[in-house]
Order: sequence, then C-alpha cells, then structure tokens
Amino acid sequence: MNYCIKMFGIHRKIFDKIAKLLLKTFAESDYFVQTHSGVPENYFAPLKLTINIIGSQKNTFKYIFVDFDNLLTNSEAENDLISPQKLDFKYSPLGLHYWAITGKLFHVIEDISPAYISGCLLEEKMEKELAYFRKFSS
Amino acid sequence: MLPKTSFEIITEFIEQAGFNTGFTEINFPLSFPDYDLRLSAFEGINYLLGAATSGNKSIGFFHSPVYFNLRNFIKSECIFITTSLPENLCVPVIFCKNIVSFKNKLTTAIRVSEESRLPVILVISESVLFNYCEIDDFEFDNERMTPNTDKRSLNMKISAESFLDNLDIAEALLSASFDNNFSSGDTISLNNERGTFFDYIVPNIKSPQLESLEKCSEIFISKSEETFFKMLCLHYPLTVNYQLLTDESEEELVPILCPGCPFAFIFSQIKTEDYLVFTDIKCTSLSRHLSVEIREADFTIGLAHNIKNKLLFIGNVSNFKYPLINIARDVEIILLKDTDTAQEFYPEVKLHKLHKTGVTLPYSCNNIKKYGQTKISPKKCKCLKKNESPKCIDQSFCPALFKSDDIILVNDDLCTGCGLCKNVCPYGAVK
Repeated sequence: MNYCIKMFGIHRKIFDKIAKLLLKTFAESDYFVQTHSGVPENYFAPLKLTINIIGSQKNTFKYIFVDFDNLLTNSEAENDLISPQKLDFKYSPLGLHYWAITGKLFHVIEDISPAYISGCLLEEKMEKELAYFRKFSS
Repeated sequence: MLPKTSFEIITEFIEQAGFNTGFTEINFPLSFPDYDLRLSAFEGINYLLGAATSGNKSIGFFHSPVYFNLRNFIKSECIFITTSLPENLCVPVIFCKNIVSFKNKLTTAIRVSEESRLPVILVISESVLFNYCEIDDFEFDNERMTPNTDKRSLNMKISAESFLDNLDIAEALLSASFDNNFSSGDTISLNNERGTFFDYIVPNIKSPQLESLEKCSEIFISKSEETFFKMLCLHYPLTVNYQLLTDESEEELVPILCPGCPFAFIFSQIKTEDYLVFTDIKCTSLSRHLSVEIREADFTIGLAHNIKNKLLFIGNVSNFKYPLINIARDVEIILLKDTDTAQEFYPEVKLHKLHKTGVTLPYSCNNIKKYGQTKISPKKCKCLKKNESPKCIDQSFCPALFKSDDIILVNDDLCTGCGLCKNVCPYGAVK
C-alpha cells in the first residue's frame, strides 16, 4: 500500500521531532520515503509536510491529513482527516495532542511499529507524551 | 541516526565550511540572528562581495532574485542561497529541487566558487527550506586565508577573456558532477512536487543539459516559472517547445500572523476601507490576509503625489530613507521601531495617531520579544458560549490562541504577552 500523509502544525519543535521519528519509523519498515514541504508564510505560520511512503508498485496513494492544530478550513479532507477535533481530543497548550494524533496514525498505516517512537520517548523520559502516544497507538 | 532539518543541515554547513561573513535578507523564512544586518538585498549582496573580495568566506540568504555586476575576482568562497529563480545571469547558478541532493549541491557550490574564484548562486526550492533528510556530517579541508586588500588588487578589473575562462572552469567542474539530461514529456519545475529541474546553468555556456532541453519535442513547465524559461531562451539563445502547467492549489489553513503583529493592531484601530495600505515588509501573510500592498516607500510616496485616495505606508524605521521625508506630503506613515539603537521616529513625518494604548509592538519581525504572559478568565470568556466568532482570534490572528470547548486557551510558549488580544476582547476576559 502507498500513502500520502499531509501534516500541518504550529508547534515547530514538536512537529520537527515527530516528523523525524515518523520518517525513521517508515524507513525502518521498508517503505520507500519521499518528502515535500512548503515555506510557511511567516515565522509563526504552520509547517506543512507531505510524506509519501511507498510500499507497493501501484501508482495509487491513500491520502491521510494530519492536522495537529485544527488548522484546515476546507472540508474536502474530512474523511481522511486526523485532528484533535475529529478525535474529540482537547487541545493541550503543552502540545500533548500531537502525540495522541501521532499514535492514531499507527492505526491507519499498515505494517508500521510504534516501538521506535515509544523507545525514544521512554529514553528521553517524556512520560506524559508517551502515555498519550501509547493510548492512541495501541 | 535521525533525519536532520534543513536548518540543522545549513547550520552545520556554515560551521564546518568555516564561513566568517554572513547576511540574511529581512523576512527570510529561516532565522540566523548573527546574519540579521537590517540591510536591503542589494546592500547585502554588495557587503558579501566586498568581504569575499578581501578573502572572507561569505554566505547570504535571500528570498529575492540575486543579480550583480562582478568587478573583481573573489579571494575566498562566496555563496548566495536564494529561493527565487534568477531574472538575469551573472555567475554560475546551481539548483536544488530535492532535499536529498541538498548536501551535494552545497558542497559543489563551495568547490565551484573556490576553483573558479566566482561567487555561486544556489537556488533552492521551497521544499528544501523546511524539510528533513538523513545525511552524514560535512567534511571540509578548513584552510582559511587572512583577509587582505590593497589598491593594486582592487584596480585589477575583470577582463571579458578572464571572466569567460573562469566560467569555463565552473562549467567543467559542474558538468563533471552532474550529467542528468531532459527527455520529451518531462515536467521541468523547481517548486512543483513532480518532475525534474536543471542541476546548474553557467552564463554564456550551453551545458549538455541545456542542449538536451532543445532536443525535447515537448516539455511541461509551471506557469509561475515561465519568466525564468523565457530569460533562458533569450540568454543562450534556446528554442524550447513547452506547455504550461497550472500551479496546484494548496490546502487552506486558518490565517495566522506573528504574535503581536503591529499590522493586526493597526488594522483593529483604523477604518481600513478608507485607506490603501502599503508596506515594504516582505511578508506574504500581510498581502494575503490583510490586503496590504507590498511596495517600497519611495514608490508609495511617488504614487501618492496629487491623488485623492488616502494612502498609508507602514514600514520599519531602519529601512526608511531620511530624504523621503521631504516629499512624503500626501501619504500617512507609520514607522515601526525595529532597532535597539537610538534611532527614533523622524519628527518631521506626519505620523498616524493610534488611539488605544497598552499594546506592545514587536521591534522587528526577525526578533519578536516576550513581554509577559496572557491569562484568560474562563468566566468572562463569552464569545464561544454565545455562538459568536471569537474576536481575539479573528482580529489578532495570533498563533497562541486556541478554541477548546467553549473557551479560548493560550499556548504559553507562543504567547509574547503583547496585549493585542486584550485590546480587542469585548468582554474583558484577557488579563
């Protein structure tokens, strides 16, 4: 299966961390990974990242929209959307919702293991983040 | 090893290659505080050329196209990194479309500049600027010369022959590094996610890649990059059969400005429908969300002469040229104090008066300071409870404010305590 994951988020530090961990996870799961991004409009505008993960030779992609901060205004993506609003998950000023949403992604994509991200969070003693990630990925 | 961000890759490149002079154009999307010199792009280019001419390793970051007339060969490497395609050709240009080739393109740029004694322009796609890639560390032989200059070397102007010789050196190095050719039916675009793009071009020399372009019966290019192709066709000259691709529409996101953006405050205070508002601050958000026209101060002041429309110009005090004051009669001006030096508002300029106080404006887009912390009283926060659109979010465009159930929450990391949301809240819920 091939996936096109479009990610949007405001917390740049957490976004960077999650993007790096996801890219490593996909690569280790034997997916061929391509990334494409856009330039944010200003120093605080949301980051946008498209990750194409290719697992089959078919030229079709399943689209997944990962909207970490309820930023998307067009409703076209509604069916393939993962967002705090869609998960009925309260926005956390500390960015904990990012980890819940990342966890949810592991339900949608085939053949990827949450072990690498769990291991990193455990090693860095990010207990709250790990709890949210585990709750939604298991 | 985890992937690195583009910013981490560039920072490592600067450190390992031993650049000792740098410049960033105002509002370049990545922030390099040491290189924030508050100069225009034109001034920044000249500053870097001067530094490289005396032997300083120099690097600059631009979102404008880079063009200059070279008067002396440089003694040390000089790299201009820009996100804009060139409008004219003056020195070798290397292009980087994908993040995976970023390291290779950076190291090639520095080698070509060193060998050819010419500055090199590295044009990077939008996708390269905020991306991630797993790369090894850079390895450079860090021999640094002691910068020096004298009248004799300054007077040694570049002759046409020697310039062409050095372009030949650059072409030889680049053609040995990159050998991709184009085929009929290719999409050739820097910023379109699909397709391919030039690896490099050298003025006056038709590379094998350019020759392969001429052999294609048809290619596809992005509409937004057509001007660049037309320039190439005139420069070499080339005959190219191309079809235009319309640029793909992007997902729409909620509008967000920097916290405490002075434009949001000014727009909450004046009747904007009465004014044509201009600025020379090159921020896409201002034109997209507030309909501000991005033009230089001198153009705006010229435009205002003898017309009946009310014009307002908002700019940074550090970028405002003093002689303009004498001719700025028909335009109202707001200057933002964006510098910590003693430069004050010019008293002669007719200043627009803002009636409400209590709002702290950031000094500079590149250096937004934290003034305090905002607290919202859940009891007084009533917009969402009354099914009204929240004024604090709608009018401040602040990234720190979020809706949660029926109240507004503040992200303490992003909030600067500027007070803008307090100023527009009709229920006094913000402290």
